[in-house]
Amino acid sequence: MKAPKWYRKLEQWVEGDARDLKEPKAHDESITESTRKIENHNGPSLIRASRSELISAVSRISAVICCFVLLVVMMFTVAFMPTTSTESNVTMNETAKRYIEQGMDEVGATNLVANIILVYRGFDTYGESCVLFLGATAVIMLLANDRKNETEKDRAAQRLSDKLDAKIPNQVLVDVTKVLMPVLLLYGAYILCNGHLSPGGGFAGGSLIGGAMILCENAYGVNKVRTFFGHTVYHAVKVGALVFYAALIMYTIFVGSNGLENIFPKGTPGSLLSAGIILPINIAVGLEVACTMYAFYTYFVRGEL
Amino acid sequence: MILNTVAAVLIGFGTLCCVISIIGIYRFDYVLTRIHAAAIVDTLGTLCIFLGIILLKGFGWGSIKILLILAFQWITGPVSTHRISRVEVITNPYFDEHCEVK
Repeated sequence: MKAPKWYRKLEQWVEGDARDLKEPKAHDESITESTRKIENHNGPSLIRASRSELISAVSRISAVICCFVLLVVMMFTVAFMPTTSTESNVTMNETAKRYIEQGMDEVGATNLVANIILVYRGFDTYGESCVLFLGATAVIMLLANDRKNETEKDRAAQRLSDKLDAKIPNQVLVDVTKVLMPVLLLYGAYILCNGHLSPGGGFAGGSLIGGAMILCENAYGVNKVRTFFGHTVYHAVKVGALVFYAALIMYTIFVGSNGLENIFPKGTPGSLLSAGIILPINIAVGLEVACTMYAFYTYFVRGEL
Repeated sequence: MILNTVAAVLIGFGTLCCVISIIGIYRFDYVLTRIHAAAIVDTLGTLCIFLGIILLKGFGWGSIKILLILAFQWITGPVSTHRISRVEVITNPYFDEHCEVK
């Protein structure tokens, strides 16, 4: 279907000068031509081309089949879901009411959302932390500089980039970092430690701390950050936080399902040291998120911590 | 009544700044002119909208928080603009072609 005339006119007007950039350039074609020539030069190109075409066709077809199977499974699951907003629906009357009425007595945090995501649904949040861990691990696997992944050309490019970066003064960012970095770290720590009293918690506070570390890396260079957050510290903090969280959540599930007494005191609702396992879990999640954010940034930028 | 009218005018002007800036981002073709357009939102747009909100809600603890947000925006927005332009100046070898003044 063709777009109406006024729409094309509007698009043309909005695109403005930028339209010229989108037109394909002449030398792009010559580059692909030359690469094709180089590829054809060594080895029997015909066999390789047909084989790679076969592989790509098989992978494309299997991807489509996978998508269809997933679609069917999901639609099948949706058909078995209970209908919403009926009187007999469990989610409408029992669970939410119990969370609101007894959440503070059973768990002890004044922030009901923290009660739900960290204790009632603690296993689910543990899965989310594992997703963060796996994401950072996958990024390290793909982007880390090792002998298979890095050539002398890459290292030269990195050195050139560092040299250019050092040559032009960076005083604006350094001055702003001096003001912002302590505020960001303090605010992140406040959100982490007050997750059971006010909105916030591990994910928000952790991303603030990770952002502060990225800011520090930008302003002072990676060597400055390495003095307090190097390779060893990164792995220790990341694995330690995840293991700590796993131990806490396993203990809570074990104790709760067997009717034993929880050794973590609930304290008085509203004070800083209260609500049992929520405060340590928040800190563990925050460290996990901060490490993941900083690792993503550094591995995408330079391929090492 | 007068306060409400002034607040409405301020918020409208702030929204207009945002719209102008977005159109500018699409219409300009070069990085430096584009960030010139984009920086309007960070400074003038947020200032007008936040002042309008403060006038609407009355002065109190909430408006102090809004002013803190404004201060944060005014510190970080121009710095990020400066960073982008610095990267462009460092990495573009044909930088002089875009600038008539040398």
